[in-house]
Amino acid sequence: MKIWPMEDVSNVIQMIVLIVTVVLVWLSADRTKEPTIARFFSLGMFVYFLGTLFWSLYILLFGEATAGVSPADIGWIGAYCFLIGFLQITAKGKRRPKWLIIMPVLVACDTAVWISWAGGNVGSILNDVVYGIIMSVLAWYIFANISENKGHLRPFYISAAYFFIMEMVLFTSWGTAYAYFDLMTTAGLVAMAVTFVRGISSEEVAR
Amino acid sequence: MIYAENVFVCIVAPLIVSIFFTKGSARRFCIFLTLGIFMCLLAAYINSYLLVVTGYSVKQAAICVTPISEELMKLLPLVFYFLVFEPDDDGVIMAAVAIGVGFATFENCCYMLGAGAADFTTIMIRGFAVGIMHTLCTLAVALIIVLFGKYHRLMPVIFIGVLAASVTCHAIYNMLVSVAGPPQYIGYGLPMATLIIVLLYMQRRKLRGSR
Repeated sequence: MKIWPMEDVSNVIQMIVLIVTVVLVWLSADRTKEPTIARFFSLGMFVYFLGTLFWSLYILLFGEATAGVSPADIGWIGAYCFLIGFLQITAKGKRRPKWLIIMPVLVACDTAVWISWAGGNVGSILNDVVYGIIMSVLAWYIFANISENKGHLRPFYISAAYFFIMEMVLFTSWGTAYAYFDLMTTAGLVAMAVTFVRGISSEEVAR
Repeated sequence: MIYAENVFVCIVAPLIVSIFFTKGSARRFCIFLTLGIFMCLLAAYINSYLLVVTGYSVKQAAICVTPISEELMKLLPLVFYFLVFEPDDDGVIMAAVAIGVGFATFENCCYMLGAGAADFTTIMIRGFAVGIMHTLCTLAVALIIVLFGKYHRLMPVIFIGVLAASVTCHAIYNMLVSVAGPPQYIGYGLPMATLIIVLLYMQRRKLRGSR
């Protein structure tokens, strides 16, 4: 897989931003109303950082991106799981609007595009299917929270939706555009961290 | 060729004997140590199978495939113990450490038999690096489970999340170690540096707790 120089820049920026975010969220956890939940979120960001670190180091050492299943993908999927976990807590007991079903359908359509690009590589197809399933669940909980939760955490759900859309666009892009969307994803991560800390400092999470 | 099953029997036999003569936490430690060794043997079988199925080279498999199967095999007995026996926090941490140590011990033994044990420096560096890496990866999993264990609804996502974290850490170590030169030195130094950070953090928490 060909690597674009801009991707190295976006990867380095993302790693710096993520490690700063992880440290800041972890340190500010005690000042929030939900220290354990804040640490949970920080851990999710750290796992995302590990995924990006593996991806960047692999490119640096071998001059190409991994084909098929990569530990970087596993790291990113793990980070989505932490995010899903938090969104699951906040969406507990809330009504699910009927239009939410559109989200998994849209993700499934996008996943079909990724699979069509896999060129029959079983590892890549498996990777795409797992991503599709996780992204469907993530979209479901993000938009369920946006439609039902009106409290201080609403900006966080909106930034999570922005992050989700950017990730979907990122997976469907290539070349220099991929690197630019990667930077926009990093912006989404920052927005999520800021809105999360602000939200959780003024609102207790219902369990 | 290494006869891994024979090595397994040699290491495990005295441990099984010790189980009958120990009690309480010492017995549990011996059981989990044995389990860790057994899981390493199973992971070796799975890795050999995946090497054939994926068609990867040994180096590529060590970076991309081995960490997944090894971390999954270490996680399984820990998750089973946590969910079925509902141990206290110390029990989970003790089990994780024993599984990690058992796994690393067996892996080191097989490495020594395969690559030879003549070079003391290499053996010492590798022995410590692998020992710390496996133990820390499993310990990190246990700490996360202990920290968020009260959120029962989140258990499925937490298990996937911690598995992802340990797999990625393990893969980064394997990748760095596989490239000769500075990356290899960084790779071998990484577990040691992480251990120092973890010990300092735990010491700080202990000090804060006693105040």
